[in-house]
Amino acid sequence: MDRNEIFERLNDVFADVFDDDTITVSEDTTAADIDGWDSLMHITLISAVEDEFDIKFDMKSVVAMKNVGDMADVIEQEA
Amino acid sequence: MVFTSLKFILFITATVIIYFLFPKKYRWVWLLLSSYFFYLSASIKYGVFLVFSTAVTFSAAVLMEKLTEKADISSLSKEERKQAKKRLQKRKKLIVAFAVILNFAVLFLIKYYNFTVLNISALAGVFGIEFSPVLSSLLLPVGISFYTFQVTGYVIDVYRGISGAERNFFKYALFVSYFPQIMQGPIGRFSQLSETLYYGHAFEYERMTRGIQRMMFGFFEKLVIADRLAIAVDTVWAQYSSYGRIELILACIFYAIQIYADFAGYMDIALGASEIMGIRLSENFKAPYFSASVPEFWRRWHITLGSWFRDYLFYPVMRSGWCSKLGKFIKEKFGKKLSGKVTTVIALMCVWFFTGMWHGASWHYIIWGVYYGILIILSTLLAPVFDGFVQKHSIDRSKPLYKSVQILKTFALVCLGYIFFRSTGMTQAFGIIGRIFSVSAPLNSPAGIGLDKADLLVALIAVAVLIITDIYRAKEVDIREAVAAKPLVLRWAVYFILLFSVIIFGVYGPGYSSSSFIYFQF
Repeated sequence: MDRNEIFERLNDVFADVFDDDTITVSEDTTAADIDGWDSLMHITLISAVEDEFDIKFDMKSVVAMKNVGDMADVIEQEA
Repeated sequence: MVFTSLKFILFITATVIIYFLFPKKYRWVWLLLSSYFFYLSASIKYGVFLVFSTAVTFSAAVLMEKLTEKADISSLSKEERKQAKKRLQKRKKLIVAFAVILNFAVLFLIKYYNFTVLNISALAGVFGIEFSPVLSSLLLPVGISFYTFQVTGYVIDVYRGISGAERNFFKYALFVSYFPQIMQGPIGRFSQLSETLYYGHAFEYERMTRGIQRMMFGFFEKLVIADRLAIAVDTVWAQYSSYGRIELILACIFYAIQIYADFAGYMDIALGASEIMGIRLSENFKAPYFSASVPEFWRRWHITLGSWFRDYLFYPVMRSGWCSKLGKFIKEKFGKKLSGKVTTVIALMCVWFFTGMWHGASWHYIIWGVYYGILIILSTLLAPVFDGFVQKHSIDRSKPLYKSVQILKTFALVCLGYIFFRSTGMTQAFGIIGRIFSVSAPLNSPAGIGLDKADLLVALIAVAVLIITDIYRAKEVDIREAVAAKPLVLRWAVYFILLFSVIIFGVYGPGYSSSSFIYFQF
């Protein structure tokens, strides 16, 4: 799966989780850039991404991922 | 040795001077020596617990890392590699669990044992079983709640692969005992602190002045604001039944300001002292009373405790096998929406129960924690209803009036919670709440609240200064830079006013006890 495809699918997941079709995520997107991305939504988001890509994030990734780029890295490795 | 004592001023002066006289490579050794001196000056006995926690977590982390290094899986097939990784993870899990349980067992024995057995005995009494439990007489070592969280966070980080294990025991001992943070935090993360803690920082004049300025503001918050308002708060709380609703509400507001000035003041002294030596500690506050919601308040108040609970309790509970099984079960029976909500509610209640309990072995702290749990759950569950209301009535969320109302609402809810926090027990807490909301209670009372007009005026001006600095903090503007950019005369006028206000208006007088930082008891 190439990175563009990952980001396209991530955009759909983000739009669904945050209920906002205008969201477009990039490598540098962080929780501060998206309204409502707090610790509760983080867990919802993680589960939604896991379902979409059929992967499982470990706790290191859940806690330490700093931006969507980090998330895409894990997806690339695991998927 | 308390931060607002002359002893501490002498200690920090000597520590800083000798720090910069030490060879750069060994400056951390000096910090370790001075940190242990600082900690043991409270009581030598406390050192036993500190060394125990340090040794257990140090060994556990090194052991986990050695196991990982020893497991050479490069020559194995993909399936074998997977199995080997699983086995390794299992062994590491045992080690981390052992270290965490051991540390929490010590904390439990010292802090929660009496509370637990007394409650069990009371519960047994309800069922007619009478027994008098053996009580522990161990004294609570200062800072144990803070450093226990810091060291357990560290071993979990090593287990998760977020941090490497520190192989030098003494360097690790410094991470645990570093004097500005051991008594009241901030609860540090090894991955962040190790970068700056062991590095031999060069002396910088500008950094020193900025550190001193921050410390000075901390003294101002503690001595001029917190200790002054404490007089009124203590007076009203002790005799709450003789005060009217106005005095009681005022005492709650005063307590909200007192506890903030007390804790944030401590942080400013700690972070300022550390900054002089070039070591940056994590920020614990970000103008919390400007929060527009309770969840936001908790992202800006005691930040390092909140993030500890998030990373080491909330996430693990939400991601645990039993939680996802429960989630799946509810999803099949009642649908996806409810499933997510139930697991979130369980995890949040866990977090807030333990947040309350962390503050002390007493029901009023637990109720205070649960109160926040309920508020945060309600704000999460009712968010769509509020959104619908705002849309229906075309309320503009960006308007200052809307934001102000939200800030006031949050502050009122926080003040209400403080009644549980400040009270010595449930009877007092409910007594105060009952009186505030009772129509039969008098509006005000002729009894004074312990502060005369001059003191109230000083408090009012000092709180106004605190609010102004918090406006800067909320905007993430460094007020020290803003002052430094002003003309020389104005700049020095600010410094001198701050210094003299601490000397003149600081609450010292008879009965003054410099050991009264609120968070010391936790």
